[in-house]
Amino acid sequence: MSDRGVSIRRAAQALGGPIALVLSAGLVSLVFSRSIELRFHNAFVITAMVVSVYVFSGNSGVISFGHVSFVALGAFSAGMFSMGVQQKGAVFKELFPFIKDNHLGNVPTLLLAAALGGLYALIIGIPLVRLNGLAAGIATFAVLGISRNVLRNWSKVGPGAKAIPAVEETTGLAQAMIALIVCIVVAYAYQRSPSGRRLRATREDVAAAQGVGVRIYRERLIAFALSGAMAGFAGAVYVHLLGSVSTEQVYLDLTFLVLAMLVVGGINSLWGAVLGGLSVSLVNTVLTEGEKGMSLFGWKFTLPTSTSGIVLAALMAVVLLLRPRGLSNGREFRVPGTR
Amino acid sequence: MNYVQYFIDAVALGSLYALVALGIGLIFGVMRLVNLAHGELLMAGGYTLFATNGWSAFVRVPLVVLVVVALALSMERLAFRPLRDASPATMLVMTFAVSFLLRNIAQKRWSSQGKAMNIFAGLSKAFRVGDLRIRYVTLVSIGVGAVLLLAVNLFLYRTEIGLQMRAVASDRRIAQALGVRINRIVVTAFVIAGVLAAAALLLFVPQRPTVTPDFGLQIGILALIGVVVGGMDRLAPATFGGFAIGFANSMVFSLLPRGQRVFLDSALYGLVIIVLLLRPQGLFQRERLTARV
Amino acid sequence: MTESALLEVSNLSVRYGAVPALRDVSFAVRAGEVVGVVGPNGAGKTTMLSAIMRMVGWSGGDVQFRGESLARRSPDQVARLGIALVPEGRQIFSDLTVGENLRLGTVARRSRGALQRDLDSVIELFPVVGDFRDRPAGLLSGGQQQQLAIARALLADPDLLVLDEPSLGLAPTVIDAVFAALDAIRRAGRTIVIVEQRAQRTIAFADRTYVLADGRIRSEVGPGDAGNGELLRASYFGVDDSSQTHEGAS
Repeated sequence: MSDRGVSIRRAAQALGGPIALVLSAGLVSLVFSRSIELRFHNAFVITAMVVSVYVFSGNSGVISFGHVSFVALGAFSAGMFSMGVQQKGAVFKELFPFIKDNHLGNVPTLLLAAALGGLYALIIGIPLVRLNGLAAGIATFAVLGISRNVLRNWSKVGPGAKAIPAVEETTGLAQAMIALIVCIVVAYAYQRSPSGRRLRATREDVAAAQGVGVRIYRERLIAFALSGAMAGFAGAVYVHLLGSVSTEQVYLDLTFLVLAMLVVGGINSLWGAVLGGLSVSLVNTVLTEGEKGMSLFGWKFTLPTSTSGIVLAALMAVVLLLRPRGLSNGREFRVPGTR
Repeated sequence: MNYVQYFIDAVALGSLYALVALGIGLIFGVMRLVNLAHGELLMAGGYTLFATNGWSAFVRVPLVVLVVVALALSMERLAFRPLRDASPATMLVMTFAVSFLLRNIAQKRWSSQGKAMNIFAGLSKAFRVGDLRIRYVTLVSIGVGAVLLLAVNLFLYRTEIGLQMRAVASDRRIAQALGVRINRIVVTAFVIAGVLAAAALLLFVPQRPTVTPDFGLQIGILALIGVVVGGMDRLAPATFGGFAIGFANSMVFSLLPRGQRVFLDSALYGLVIIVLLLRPQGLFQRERLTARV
Repeated sequence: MTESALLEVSNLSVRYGAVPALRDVSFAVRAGEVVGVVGPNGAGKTTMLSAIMRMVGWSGGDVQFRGESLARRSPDQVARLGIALVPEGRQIFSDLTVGENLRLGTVARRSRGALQRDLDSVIELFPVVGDFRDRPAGLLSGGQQQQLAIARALLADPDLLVLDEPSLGLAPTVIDAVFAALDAIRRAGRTIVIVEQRAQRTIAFADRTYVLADGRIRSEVGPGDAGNGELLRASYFGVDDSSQTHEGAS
């Protein structure tokens, strides 16, 4: 087969693998009870967040602790605009009028969230993409802190310490899966684009890439803004799944979960992001259902509460120590045995 | 508005944060590790106090020190040492995992309800000097803080191991090529950091009497901010940064009305970002002779 | 094994990822000898020293010191066995004082016994080190830092002194002073391995010198070959040397 043929087949596998996994998981979800089905939907949405972080961190090699800020912005904006106007006016009296008096339907809130996420990322990205390694990690962590602080306390835009209630729960199986697949396709299109390839080149050797004329900060900023938009989008889908959102739900614990999924799956590939997201969700689901008492193949057991967090953290530590490139080993999906 | 009162209280809080910051700075110096789980050392001390409620203070205090140091050494040996040559960002992620793990274990064992730590109740009492109402804990904090800082300083500048530790912080590779046993130095740093954290915890109790799984998180992050803003690379700026953060935190809380305090966090985080962008060596540090990080 | 070799390098190989930096290098150093290793940039000279000090992993071969393999040792253990490294670019601790730098040199000493005597002789050899005891080492000039680095290494009372490009970045008069000091050290009976880009000087100084190029030892030359440009060019650049006009060193 020609080189071109091989590369087309590889592309098809790299893109098709993750999508196939998502579709099969979606089909499998129909078998289960409603509450477990919801966990699948949850898994898809969170995996979309993981993919968004991957778009930046995986391609640039710079770890961002702050992406859940964009998720939060997306969730809050979608949530606020999805609330019924009357209820909003009654519960959140201090809002800016343009928020208080307006209502948006499902899809417009998703688009709004993506736009806001992208814009926020673009603005803070301009200074931040100049940072590397440790400094970037700390700075993005600080962004997370700022975002939470503002969302929690600025009562003109947000619900304060309360949760946003009564958001239309428009995310079912279809919306969750489609959202994730859209993110996968966008992520793949980006990493194959010239900009994405240039950014990947900087990941291995910053100096060499600069030497051949790659404008690192520009490429990073593009990835950062794109990933911000995707994260915002995922946040909106998330709030439509949960029906409400509070700042604590989109802060440290979610950041840890997303990061853990990325690490376990493998931070350097799209397949890693998707695989990590879905597999950790699976483990998480088994553990949380186990906490409630479940029967697996006729064997009843009950796990003590809060085990899932401990297991997840231990799992992440083990992966970091023993297989730092994750389950995917840093590679895209390939059908075993093919070239 | 009693400014002298506020000032004294702020110095006391600053001293406690200085102790925590010094520990963070020591570990960063020998390992280039920013430990997001440092606060959990204090949390562990807090739960030790809860579990030993009613015992004699002469037993509880050494026990707290023991537990905190043991936890610090476990972190080093199990989670950090294997990653010593990995990228700083990977190490950061690992510390994040350790923090999450410890907080979840605490959550599982003791739930999120606040548990009383109950020690040094006598220190909450106050005496009056004219217009001022000075709590004993304030004076003890400043005193203990000063003593411990001095002790660490003497250790670093007057002992052989202290010299070796400064050498490792300056250039680990060359120190090792000169025969310095890196593992021993790192372990020593963690022991000292553990002792400092335990001391800080014990003195925090009168002002924060209950411990929750997130107890260490707030203190740890704030101390970390102090270290980054003050200057991660050297101990004096890092410690002073910790002091400054504690001091500023206390002053702001005393001076600003509730409504205006809420964005303090954002201001501090914003300061971190600005420092990282514009003056990465920290606010209190002169330009280094050689480039770093 | 070569009879009574202090240091025996056998088939040593080092790779950085997929790139071989040292290929099958073998040579021996007897006690009291001064052995030079010269070669162009990128030849693998620093890699070789790092490998001996175990600062970098080996992909093959062995290094024996006093008959014992260094294969499973860490760098600090190698130092404490009696090999002292004077690293490339001096690499003294800039924020520490000169005196503190010297004290760190004594960490690897096997016995504290003759410490004062060694300290005195080191100060005699390098007076600047005595004069600037309390000055931060980073404020010293390049030449002074080089002297400090050698002094520091000597204070470990090593069986083998290893220097990585001691003349790098130094003015000619300073280089003279450094080599004069090295000569005194050699006359005191120390075993020295000196790695340099300045081929002529080293070949003239050492008892024998190996030429390293492209990770391999190309030839061994003696002090008598110091003036022989042809021989050197052939060693440095391989068989085809028609385009070379000047021998490799700066």
